[in-house]
Formats: sequence, C-alpha cells, structure tokens
Amino acid sequence: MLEIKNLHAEVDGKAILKGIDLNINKGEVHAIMGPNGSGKSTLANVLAGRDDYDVTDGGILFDGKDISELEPEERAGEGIFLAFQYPVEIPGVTNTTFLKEALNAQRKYRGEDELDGMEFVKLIRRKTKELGIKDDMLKRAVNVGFSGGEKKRNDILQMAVLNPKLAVLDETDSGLDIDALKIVAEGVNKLRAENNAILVITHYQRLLNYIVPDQVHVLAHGKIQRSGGKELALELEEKGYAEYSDDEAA
Amino acid sequence: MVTLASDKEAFIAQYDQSKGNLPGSDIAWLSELRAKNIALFEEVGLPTAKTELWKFTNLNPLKKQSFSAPSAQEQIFANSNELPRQLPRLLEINASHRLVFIDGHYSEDLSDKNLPAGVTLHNLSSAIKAGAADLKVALSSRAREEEQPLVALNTALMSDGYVLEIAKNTSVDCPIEILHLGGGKAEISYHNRNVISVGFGSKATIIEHVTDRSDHVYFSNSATEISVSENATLHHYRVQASNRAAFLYSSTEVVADKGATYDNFLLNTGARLSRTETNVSLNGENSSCHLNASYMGTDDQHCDITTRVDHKTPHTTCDEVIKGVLGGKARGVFQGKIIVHEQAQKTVGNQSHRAMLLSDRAEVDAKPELEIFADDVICSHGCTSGQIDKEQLFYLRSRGLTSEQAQALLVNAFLADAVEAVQNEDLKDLLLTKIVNWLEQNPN
Repeated sequence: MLEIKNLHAEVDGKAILKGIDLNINKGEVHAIMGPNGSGKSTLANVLAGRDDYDVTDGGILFDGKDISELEPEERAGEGIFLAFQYPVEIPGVTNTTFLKEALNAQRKYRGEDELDGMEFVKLIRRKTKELGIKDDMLKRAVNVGFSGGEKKRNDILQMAVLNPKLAVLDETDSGLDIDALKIVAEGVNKLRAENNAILVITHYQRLLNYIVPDQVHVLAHGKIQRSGGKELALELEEKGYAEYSDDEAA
Repeated sequence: MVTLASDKEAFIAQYDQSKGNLPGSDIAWLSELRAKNIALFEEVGLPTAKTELWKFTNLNPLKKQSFSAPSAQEQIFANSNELPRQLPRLLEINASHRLVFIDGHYSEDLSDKNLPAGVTLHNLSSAIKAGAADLKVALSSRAREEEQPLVALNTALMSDGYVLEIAKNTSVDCPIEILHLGGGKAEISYHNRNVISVGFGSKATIIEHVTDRSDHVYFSNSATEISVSENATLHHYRVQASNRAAFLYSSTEVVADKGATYDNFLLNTGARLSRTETNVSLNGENSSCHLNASYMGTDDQHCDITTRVDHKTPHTTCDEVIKGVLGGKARGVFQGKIIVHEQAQKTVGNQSHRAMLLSDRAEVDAKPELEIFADDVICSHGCTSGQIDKEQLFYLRSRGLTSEQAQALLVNAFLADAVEAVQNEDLKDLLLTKIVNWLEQNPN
C-alpha cells in the first residue's frame, strides 16, 4: 500500500530525511521509533504533505501512485490520515461542521456522492457509539477547551468517520496519562482492519503495549537503522537509543 | 481657480441655496440651530488627517467628488417607476415592520402602515411640524460638534429622517426594519437625521439596512440621536452593504438611563469609504451597552469604526467585540475610546478588536484608548491583526478540505464570533449567511 523509496526531505533547507525505505502492506501495523531529532515527525509531515517540507530525492508511492507532489487535501482524499502530535484548536467551527465538510470534500475528491444531512448524522451517531464518545463533543468547537486526552480521541473520531486507508499516528502518546493512552489505543484497535494500515510513530515503547505492531523500525540520522518484530520495541525500551545517538541526532 | 468640488464651500453653497426650503425653515429655533451649525462647519471644515480623530481616515476621495441635493422632482420620481419591483428586505415579510427611505427620503407609500401599538413614527418634517418639544432637545444635544463637523453639516442640512418613539412599558416583539436605499442618481448627497426614544421599561429591536440599487457615487451623511430610558432595552442592528463607489458617514449618539441596555451590532461590507461612529453615554447606574461589529473589505474599500463609551455612573458595563477581515488593498480602522469618569466606580469595560488580513496589501489601524478616572474598575482591551493561522489551515487541509474551503471556514468562524451576541435568531442566521456570501463572492 505504502512504498517509500530512498526518501530524502528537507525542512528550511536542512536535510532531515536521508534515504528512507519502507514498505507497508494492507492490514499491517508498523511502528517507527527513534530518538528525538531523528526525523520521525518530519516523516509524518512529509507523508501528509505539509508546506515547507520538501522532498529532494526518492519518492512515496501510495497504492502505486506517486503522491509526493500532491496537496495535503489530495493526499487525504487518496486515503492518508495524520493524527497530530498536537491537534489544532479551531475556534468557531463545531466538530460536526468540520467532520461533514471534511468527509464530503474527500468524497467529492474521489468522485463519490456527498452525504446529505441525514446520512451524515446516521454515520456519525454510529461512529460515536462505537468509540464511546459523547454526543456533546460534536457540538463543541474543534478541540477548543479539550483536554489532551479529548483532543487525541477527537482525532480518532475523525479517523473513524473519514475511514482512511493509512493512518499515521504522530507521537499520539505524548501528553497522555496511562488511562487516556489506553482509551486512544482502544479506539485505534477498533479501526484496525484487513484493508487498512497504521503507522505508529513514537518515542516510547509503552504505546506499543496497546497497539501491537507487526513490524518495528528504528529511525536515526534520517534513515531506518534497523527493522524487526514487536520484540525490537522491548529491546529499545531496555537499552535506550544510546547506540543510535550521537551529536548529529541530538 | 480650481477648487475641490465638494470642499466645504460646495456644502455651504448648498445650505445657502436650500435653507429657505429645508424642513422647519419657518421655525426660529431650528433656523438658528442650522445657522449656528453651518457657521461651525465653515470654521472647522471637512475633517482632515491632521485631526487626531481622523488620522487614519482620509476624506480626499470624497472631496474629489461633487455632490448635489436630490431635487424634489427626483424624490417623486424615486418613489415611482424606477424602483426595483421587490425592495430589499432583511427579515421575512411578516417578521418585521418596514420603513423605507429612498435616496434619503421617507416613502410613506412603500412603508408598512400599521406599526405595533405603542410605537409612534414621524418623518423629520412632520415631527418638526408637530412641534414636539423633545425634538428640539434631541437635535440640539450634541456636545462635541466641533469634533464632529459632519454632524454639524448634517444639522445644517438635515432634510429628512425618522423620529421613532416607543411608549413606556411597551414590548415591541416584531423588529422594525428600516431600509435606506440609495443610488437613485449619481453624485447626490443627503443628510438624514433620526431620533429614537425608548420609553421606561420598554423593549424594541431596530434593524437598519443600508444598501443601494446602482453603482452610482453618492454620499450619505446620517446622524441618529438615541435615548434609552430607565430599564429599557434597545437592540439596534445595522447592515451596511452599499456599492463600492458610495461614501457613508453615520454618527450615532446614545444616552442610556438607569438600568438601560443599548445592544448594537454592525455588519459592514459596503461602500468605497465608510465611517460609523457610535458614542454611548452610560448615564444611569447599571446601564450597559454592547458595541459589536463584523466588517469585511476588499479592493480599495475603507472601513472605519469609531466608538466612544462614557461611563458616568457606578456599575455600568460595556462590551465591544469587533472583528474585521480585509483583502485586496482594503483598509480597516478601529478607534475605540472608553472613558471611566471619576464617580463611575465598579465599571466593567471590555473591548476587543481583531483583524485578519488576507492579502499583503491590506492594512488595519487600531487605536484603543482607555481613560480611567475611577479606581475600582475592571477594564480590558485587546487589539490584534494577523494572517490566517497556518497550523489551522494545514489541519483542515489534512482532513480533506481544499485550501479555499479551509480558508472560508476559518474566516467565517472568525467573523461569526462577533455575531454571537445578536439576540434575534432570524437576523443572526441572515448575518451569518451574508458573511458566507461575501466570502464566496470575494475569495481574495
């Protein structure tokens, strides 16, 4: 589904990713771990198409299509979803309005019929019920006044409604206590399916206790240094990133 | 010698020519009042950028135009066949009582005849003829005429307007909508004077709609005197959506008695140049006001909102939330003065002005001023201007919204904030729709 080949990227003229190769198939969960400054969040932002993140070499194929020049909304339409490390507050825009506009914009991009008010309400009721999210969250402005945990759950709700092929979770565990972490992980697990994939980006192993990956990759110095099964995460938890760290990675 | 067409001499000449025909020309006090004000206007002249209060709003584009008063013949014409079959209306036909002014002149034919019980309406001439004593007080009440030369000009030249009286203990549920339809002829100016008084314990909603039916250049110079009596509430909303050649100046002076509330909202999308001045004097204890506004500008539009609130007694409150969005080369001006007089303890005054600039060439100038002479007060003010937040934009786009959709959603939410306090739900929906429509028509 996702094929990253020799990906080089820079931010503000500074090279961060220096040749990443990664393949993720349908139904798989991959984790990328690494020390601070290794390029983990850059990879997430490059996948989502944020401005100022320039691909200088290599490419990203998604379902066989090169997406490295697509706009963020086009990538969303193709089925890529980024759960933010720090979900953004949008005052004055309710969750319902936002979700409806987002879903219909994606459907339009894919040439599908837009959902009318009734169809949308039915869908969103089903999703909030599945995730155990209270309806009043829908009436509130996007992430405004939400706790850290609520913001992450809100991202998971968006993911459930938009139903992406690939979800990239960028340090979703940061700022969460263990209870909130469990709830968010539960939500993600409910969305795991045969035809979608998840890429979990994290510094700590603890999230992977709850979202169990098929493969773990260690990112340092802008490259994947090592790949392995879920046991690699435990090894990193024990030994730390010392062997991957040096001045360049600090 | 070349003189600027509508420099003060042109207006003075207009006064000299028309003074015999202006309403109340046979009434001594009124003729004296007009004479006094034209003399004051002659002395001060049209405002220039040298005056502190007009530092950010340059009237040169206005001065380059020449304006005449619409003739009596044109007024009759205006009431007949050239009008659009359906006049603009903000609220549904049964949801408001509508009064209609065409190029500054009250049209009895086009206005709703049956006003709610307790509401008395006169146009300016008939109010003058009726000899109401209150009118003299209202028309002579401006204390700072030398700071407001356009109001002095209005007093000298006022030819029409409305005098609206809400009797005491009257709750007028149905809003009174006042349509000011301009653009009937190029290069005319009119000077309307309005008086609103809301009696003890009464409640009313007035919605003014300033718009036009052509691209003609015209100059509307209006002034309104409002008194809100003890325990009365006036919701006063204004939608200014004129053409991009029009000049609009509007000065509203409000006096609020004990326990009275003056609730004001302005939606401004209109005019080449507009300046909307609202001065509120909180004269009675526990009186309060809201002065909220959303304004949008593009191309070379200039939008000036100037407010002044005088807290004169204890326990008075004012809230101001003003939001502006500017594209093109548009310029926005906000001047907000809050004066807490010595005896006005326990005053609460909050003012916020935020502007969003959608283009590099748009500009906003804000001048908040607090003058506090009492020691036990809570006052705050904040002015910000900036571009659309890039993080928010990316967040929305990463969920599938196009750049245009994301921008429209953010701008809309930004402006809608100031509309929140509008009490009439129908009107609130309509204002929000107008904001969305503006964004669609002006993608910037």
